[in-house]
Amino acid sequence: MPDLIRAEFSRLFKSRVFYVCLAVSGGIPLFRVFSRSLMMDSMDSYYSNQRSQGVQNLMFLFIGLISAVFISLFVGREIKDGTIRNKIVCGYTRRDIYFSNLIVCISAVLIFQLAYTLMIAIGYTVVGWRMDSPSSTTKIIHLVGIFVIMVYCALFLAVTLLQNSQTTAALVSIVTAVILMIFGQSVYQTVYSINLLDIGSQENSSFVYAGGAGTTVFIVSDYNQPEGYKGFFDKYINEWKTADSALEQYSEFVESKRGKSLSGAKKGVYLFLSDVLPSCQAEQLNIRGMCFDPIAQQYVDDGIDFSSFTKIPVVPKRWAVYIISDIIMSVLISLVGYLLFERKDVN
Amino acid sequence: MEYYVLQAKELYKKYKGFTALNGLTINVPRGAIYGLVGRNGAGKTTLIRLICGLQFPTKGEYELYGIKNTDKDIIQSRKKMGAVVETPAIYMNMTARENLMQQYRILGQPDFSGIDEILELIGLTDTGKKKAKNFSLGMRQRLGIGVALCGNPDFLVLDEPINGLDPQGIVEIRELILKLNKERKITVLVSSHILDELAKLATHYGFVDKGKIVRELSAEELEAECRKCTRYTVTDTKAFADAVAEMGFECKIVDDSKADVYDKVNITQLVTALSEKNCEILNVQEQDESLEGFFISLVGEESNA
Repeated sequence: MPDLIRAEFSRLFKSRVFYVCLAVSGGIPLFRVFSRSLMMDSMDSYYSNQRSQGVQNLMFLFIGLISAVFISLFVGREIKDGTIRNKIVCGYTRRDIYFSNLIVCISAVLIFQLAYTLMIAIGYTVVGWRMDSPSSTTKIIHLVGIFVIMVYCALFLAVTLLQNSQTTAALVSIVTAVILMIFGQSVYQTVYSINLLDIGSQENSSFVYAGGAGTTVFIVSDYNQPEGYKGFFDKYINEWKTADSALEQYSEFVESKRGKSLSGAKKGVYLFLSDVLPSCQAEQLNIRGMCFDPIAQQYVDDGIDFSSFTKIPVVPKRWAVYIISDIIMSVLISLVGYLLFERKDVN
Repeated sequence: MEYYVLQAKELYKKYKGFTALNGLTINVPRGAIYGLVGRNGAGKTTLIRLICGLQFPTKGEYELYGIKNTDKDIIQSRKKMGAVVETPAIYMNMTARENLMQQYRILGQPDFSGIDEILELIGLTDTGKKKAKNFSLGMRQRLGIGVALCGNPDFLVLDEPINGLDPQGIVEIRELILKLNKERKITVLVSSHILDELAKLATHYGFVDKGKIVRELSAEELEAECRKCTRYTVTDTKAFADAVAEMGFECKIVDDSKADVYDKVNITQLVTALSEKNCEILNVQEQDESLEGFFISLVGEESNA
């Protein structure tokens, strides 16, 4: 199997589809940062508070789609060209073939994720923004992201290796990825009906604003009457302090309580799905992943030594559940996929 | 050392509503070029897929180098074989050399030192940076054989290797197979429905029909079955048969006007004898039963082989 893995890596680094996916993964954040930077430069003071929105880490949203495209085309090529037969004929077991492909695919998609992160960091450096994210948040988000990637790779590899045509594999994988993405968003919006809200960023605000799944912003309560929103929201306090512990900035993030708008069996099903669906987890990671926040620049502009601030991390509360769920899902999907592939008639 | 490289006994392969192999039994001797002859859909490719491990028999078993397909050591036997099943299994976005290098990596070969020799053997030394997708069908077929040769196999399985090739391509593949068999002592199992071509190669034959081997024989045995004769068209076959028998030769009446004689007969004596019986010779033709004729006699006229 090590020979097979080495051979597959060699093929990977010569594969055009790998470099196209890599370019897309690296190009999207650069485009988003530069377009956002241009937009912010043209904003007047009225909209300046929107600077706090930063650029969301969207990688986990489309990592499913990228995995589907990459795996179906890269592994599907073996089916299309018939080269998978060479491996079987020369004595490799189906298990060797299946799991060497899985290792290579996970590695490739992790490289895409790394490219995204690197490019967003480079983009921020170029436009002069500070990365405003507690490292613990970033670490956990990317840790969960690795396991989400494992589930996607296990799923799309199984789909691809069980087909007899590259076209069918690509079609089924991409459709599955899109359905998962839409379904994941739908489950997420149902379970977490109201998203994060940064109260503190609204200067002199006396209202609590909330965004429906991160899009429409609306007033949900008077900030001075906490009983109006505390039943629905969990609150995160974000304090930025200077080195001598003087409070420089105070803000609150609120989040809807999990499944508050649901009840009965439906609630159980939705809560379960929100834990196990990789696309639903990805939504969580994206919402939390506003980890590169250009608001930092505001404080730099105001002469505050931003580097001395401490921040309280905002991480997905159920990240450990997500990781365990992802491990179980990856193992289950790979096991079923492998057992079916073991019995598959290869043409 | 096993005398047979491949032995299959009562192999069955059923798909949904279709039986591809129906109790097939085959014996491929070491060092042979074994021609698998059969019409389209007879079960040749299915048999090859089974012995290559691409598919699994519904019932029955086979042995490769004496190891049963149900034994986990069959993997070791497979390492001694190479195959081209249906279409050449090559990466279309790679050059000939890159394809061979990739197969070397898969096999875990320590270096690429044998690649030049294989490229020369298959006649693809001058293809340079040309990708396999731009190759002719014959070049792809030869590259497919080249990839199959990467692990220095003892047993090469070729499924319809000359399908779709032009006459030059057919000659090249034929010469390559003969060279591999003679110089490298590789046992070759080659399936085809182009019987005349197979006749120029094979040392052994297996005739497949409806998922079974209907006859298995060596080239010598086949030659004896297809021996030469002279076909006479005459006015009275009975009188002709009597005259030939009186001269001490063997004769076989084909129909009302034709009869075959399996020995060289003195024509003047035969004509004299026939004139006494009021029988005239209308035509004389040298005849030998071709592989095609033999095949048709085995499996019936509906054959499209």
